[in-house]
Amino acid sequence: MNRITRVALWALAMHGLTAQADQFHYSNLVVGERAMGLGGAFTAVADDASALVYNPAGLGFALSNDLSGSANAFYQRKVTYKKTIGNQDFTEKSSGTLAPFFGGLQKLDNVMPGLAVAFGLFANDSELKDQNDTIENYGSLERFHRTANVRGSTTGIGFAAAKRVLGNLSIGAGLSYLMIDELTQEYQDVKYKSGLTCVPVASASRPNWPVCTGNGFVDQAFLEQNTRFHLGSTAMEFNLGAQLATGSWSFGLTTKIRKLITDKLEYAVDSRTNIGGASALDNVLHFSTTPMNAQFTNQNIKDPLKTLPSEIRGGVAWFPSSTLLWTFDTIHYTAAISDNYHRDAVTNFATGAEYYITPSIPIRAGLFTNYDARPKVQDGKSGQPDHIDYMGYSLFGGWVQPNSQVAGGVVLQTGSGKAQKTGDATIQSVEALSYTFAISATHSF
Amino acid sequence: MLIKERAFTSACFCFAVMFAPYLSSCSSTQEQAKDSSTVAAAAPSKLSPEEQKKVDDAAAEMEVGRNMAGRLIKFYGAYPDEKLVRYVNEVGALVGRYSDFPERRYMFEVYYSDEVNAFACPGGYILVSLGALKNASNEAELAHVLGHEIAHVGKKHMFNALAKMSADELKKTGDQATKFNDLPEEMKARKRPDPEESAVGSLVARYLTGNSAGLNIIQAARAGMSLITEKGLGANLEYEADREGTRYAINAGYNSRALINFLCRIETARGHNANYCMQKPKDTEKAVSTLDKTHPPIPDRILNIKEVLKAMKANAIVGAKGRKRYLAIKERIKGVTAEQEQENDKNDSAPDLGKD
Repeated sequence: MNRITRVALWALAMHGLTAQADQFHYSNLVVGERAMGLGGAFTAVADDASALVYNPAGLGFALSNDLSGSANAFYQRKVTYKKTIGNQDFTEKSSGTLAPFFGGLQKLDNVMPGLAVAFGLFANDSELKDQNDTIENYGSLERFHRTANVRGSTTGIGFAAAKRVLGNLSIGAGLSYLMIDELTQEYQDVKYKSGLTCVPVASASRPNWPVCTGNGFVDQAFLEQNTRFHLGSTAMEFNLGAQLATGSWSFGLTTKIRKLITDKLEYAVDSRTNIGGASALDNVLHFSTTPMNAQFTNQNIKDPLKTLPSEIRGGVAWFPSSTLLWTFDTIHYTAAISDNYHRDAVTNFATGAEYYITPSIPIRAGLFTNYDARPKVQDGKSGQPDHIDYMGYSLFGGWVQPNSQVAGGVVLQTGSGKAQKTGDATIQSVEALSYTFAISATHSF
Repeated sequence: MLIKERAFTSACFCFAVMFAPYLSSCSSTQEQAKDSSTVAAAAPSKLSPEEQKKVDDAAAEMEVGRNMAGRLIKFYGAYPDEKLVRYVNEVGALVGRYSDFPERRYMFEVYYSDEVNAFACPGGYILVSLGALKNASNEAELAHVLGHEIAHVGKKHMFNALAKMSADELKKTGDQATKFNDLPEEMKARKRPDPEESAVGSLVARYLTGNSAGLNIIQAARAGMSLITEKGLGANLEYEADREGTRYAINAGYNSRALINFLCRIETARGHNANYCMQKPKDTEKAVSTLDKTHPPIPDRILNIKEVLKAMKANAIVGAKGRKRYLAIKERIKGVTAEQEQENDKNDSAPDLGKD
């Protein structure tokens, strides 16, 4: 297929809904002061308020009462689709909203030895995308202009409690209310060049399709379209965990089950076009034009997600000395498949280390995977969603003072994968990069 | 844009809540510092370095004391009888008014422990045990006990001892407060290093909380816990507190021999005869209680008290015992039996002062 044909098809592919928030990666944000630095490998530690997210059983081993908060001060992601517009790359950028974690932990040894509770407000994902693409005078295109605004977030609020039952064994449970909110608003203005000659060819399947010797329409084809897409779901998340401490080792296991309470998708299109359809056969672009067609659609789709993935985490932590900590987690997410969202089972890994350079300055570093839950892009198929696997790196420094500590650092994720951005069977390579600057503070009392 | 603003607002709220303890700590410290007329009442708007140091020391004293009192209450538990605690505060405030430090504010609390003891934390936080209240047979005895603690606070025995220590000594002493520092075996591996308070940290802490920049509050409080529960302040300071406390209670109108009776009752409860407390002990007995570990032997203390009574010509002073009022309030304490009260009555009369 020649380059110009591909550009035109790409533009047409954009007529559908293309910009979406990310429901397919589960480690886009890492929450919690220490956990961020450890790359999210915190299941066998989790002795602060972020236990609500990692393992509620960790509360049973908490050393102090805490109030802690963290925020992603700056987050940006750049996804580059290689050689998508001819030889040119196509880039999508998104930034993060301020995604705070705020939580508190209260030990209740005076009520019952080994008992502790925590509450938390956390963001599993948070994204803002303001896309603005313009292509002018390119092949058959006179002008393509698309603006897309995406706001997506998954936020939770909940509480957890844990009790050490056998001295070195803690059992914990958590309950969180999750809010999934994705809003995409997209405007497209597409105009094709006119004046090309097309020869109508009648066939049984395409009686009205003209075949053009060039690329374009006899009459100027256009599309003006506004699209609004709003996914709003709520769910309860039940979290049950255990933690076992033996000498300088700790082991953690937790499972999360999520149950949707409400689940709906609003989809509205307001468009005006004279484009009937297109296909690429024999390196020739085939268009049909129709009389002016105005369309307004407003649909409410029930149960778009249908189900949410469950999660099982297993972790190990080693405390060889008071200045050193090493952790490793395996996190498995089950498949969650609906008509609108196809999420395969995914297993991620995370590992992290903490070292106190001085009693007041800890350094934390982590390494983690953030695999895509969408199916891998396969040869010979078309219209497949992107598949991008990420590898994450975190580096944080802290400053500890009596009763308080602050930390700051960066989480970097590099991704690679495949996509079919042009809507046909062509597969593009994708490279992605995201970075988050985060700060956090904890007050112990 | 609206979303960004909302997110920013919610983040600001989160951080405001997170730092609320700092802010509230700040205001309460400042209020308490104002209450201490030695510090703030005389403080002009622009302070000289000496005056600033006094203000800083007063704030640090409050912080250390509050931290220590919090640790003690957390460890022992506060006795939740509002009337009883109010009564102890009334008696303590009265003695405080007749002490050498009437401008100070004292806060009294009752803690759960059958051991006879009381703690004086810097800044005026005084805790008296349930055991001490049970051991007392009248208000005068309680007044003397509180007078002893008021003397510790007013003379800054604890705070001065802590202020003299180097950072290393504070840390070492703090580590010795095993009763409060010991973690369960399964949690020891998680303990991270004790942080150093840096100059910048002190400055930030001072800005946020009004703390003194000169003293590591947490280290000082930990060391204070060791002094107050394990090592003691030293015999000389205890003798001084006995002498001064006795004087304050007598000045407040209480019976002069009440502290002697109170201390003797501790010995009789241990099985010694009534005269044991009045004699110089032949052998030093092994310290069994916190009181023994942190104070000189009771007979030595009584000899010391007798000297001050003699100097004050206490025989000629008619002081109140306040027995009826005390017994009425003492009934509120669970576990005090009529038998115990009869036993206390028997020991309500130490040998005459004139005998020695």
